[in-house]
Amino acid sequence: MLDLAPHNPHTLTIATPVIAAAGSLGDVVGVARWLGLAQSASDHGLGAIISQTVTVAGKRGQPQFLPTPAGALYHHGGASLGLKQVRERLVSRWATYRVPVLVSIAGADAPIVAETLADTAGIAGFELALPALNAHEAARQVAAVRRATLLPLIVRLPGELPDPIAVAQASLNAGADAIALIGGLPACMPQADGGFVYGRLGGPAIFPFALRLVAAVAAAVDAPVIGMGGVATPEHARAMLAAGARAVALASALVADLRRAKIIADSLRVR
Amino acid sequence: MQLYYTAAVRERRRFEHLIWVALAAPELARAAQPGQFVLFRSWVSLDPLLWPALFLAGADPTTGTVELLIDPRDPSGMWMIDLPVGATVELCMPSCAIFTPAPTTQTLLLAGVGSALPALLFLARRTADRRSVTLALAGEAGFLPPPFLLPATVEMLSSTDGEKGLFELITAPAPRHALQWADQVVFGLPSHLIGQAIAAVRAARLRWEDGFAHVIMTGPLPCGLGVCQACQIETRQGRQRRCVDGPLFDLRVVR
Repeated sequence: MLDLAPHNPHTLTIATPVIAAAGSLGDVVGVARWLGLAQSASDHGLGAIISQTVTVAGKRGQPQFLPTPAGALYHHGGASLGLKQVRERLVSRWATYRVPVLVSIAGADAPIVAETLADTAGIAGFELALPALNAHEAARQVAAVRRATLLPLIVRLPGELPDPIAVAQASLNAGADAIALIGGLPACMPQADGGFVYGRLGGPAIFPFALRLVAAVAAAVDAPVIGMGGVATPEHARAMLAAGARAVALASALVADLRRAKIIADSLRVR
Repeated sequence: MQLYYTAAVRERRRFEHLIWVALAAPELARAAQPGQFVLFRSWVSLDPLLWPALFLAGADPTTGTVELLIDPRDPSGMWMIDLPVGATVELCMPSCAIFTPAPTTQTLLLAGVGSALPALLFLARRTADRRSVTLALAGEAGFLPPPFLLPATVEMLSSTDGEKGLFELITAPAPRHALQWADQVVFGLPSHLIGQAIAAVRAARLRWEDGFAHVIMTGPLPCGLGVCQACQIETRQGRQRRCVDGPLFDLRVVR
């Protein structure tokens, strides 16, 4: 068992070091039966799940998910879950799963969502997705969420930060319990009509870049680091752990194959 | 219920430009229904989106075989064409909405273009023993399923005039106006042809009841499990995902 929030009285104890990254399982309920989330972690391999991003009102949008060489370009299209949907339909289901579910939050709504859901059974914590910003602004955003909730708080950093170590350190100083990186890289893909789809690149294509940043941040901070960005195989996961990560998060690999978490978790357990 | 299956290539043939592949997959063959799609890949790739979604063209539970028809112009499926007999592949078959003919249906019209044609082929094969089935297919020469894959009782109409040929086929007065005679119709179409399908049904039928016309909607299905939401369409019930809420929809519901 690992604790990703060792300094938080609520703790965030996970049974395996493999986490489903934000949105990789959608609202989670839709794939719960395929994953067997009512069973123990030894059946599905997941130590924790991070939900799709939740905003106050929820937004209907049209996400795009496009293949790229060795990767996938994703644009959320503005889609998010709403507080009402989470409270009335989802959280009661999440509470029945034998794996902690964290809620992904972002933007101006993040403190409100965190405060509203802070005492809700079935929610083990929050993951705040930060955009590309400086350390001062990161600290301000993290502190605002920390004031709203005492539950475990993971801060996810994007891949394009000029100084990821400074932002990670500032986030921890402002109250984050753990750092996750990288949440993809900005990219675009051409379309048949001559236009472009802009979004974030994930998949094995970005793994070497992610590994470098994880190693740098893990060496510099005194808090759990979650390695993500193209993790798709046991070898990728082992490399992230060797670089200092305490756990790995799967995104596109899990979207492509729900069995991937178990394959990686079993492999790490054997060693 | 099972989601992932392993299959082996049993046989492969070329029908003009289309590649027909029979896979030995007994459990899948027992579970498969017309209108279902499979996500399909080889063992080796880690690319997250190299699971092309293909509609099944047939399934025979007695021989444990499922059939695919592959269009070599589809870049995501090109690698499948060269798979040797005996090669092992992985398949993911999520549960999805499937078409069940109404008990009163005697005459069933199936009409489609593009990647939905295998689904209509499968539907024709499964329903032809109890009903009069007409299968109208449109596309380009050399890319239409061959008639000999169908039971002899299925009437096949085809057009090589591309997409526009489909609506001429089903609304032509001679030999008969197929859309007027049908008790039910199932289209297999991409979203940009839905408006034409609705217009054709409106023009042909004075009354158009719920359940008369359905559509199997084609288009990319990146995850196939409702997670990525990239396949959403607008319906009268709000946005729905083609992969888990469809791909079969009542035509009256689709906007």
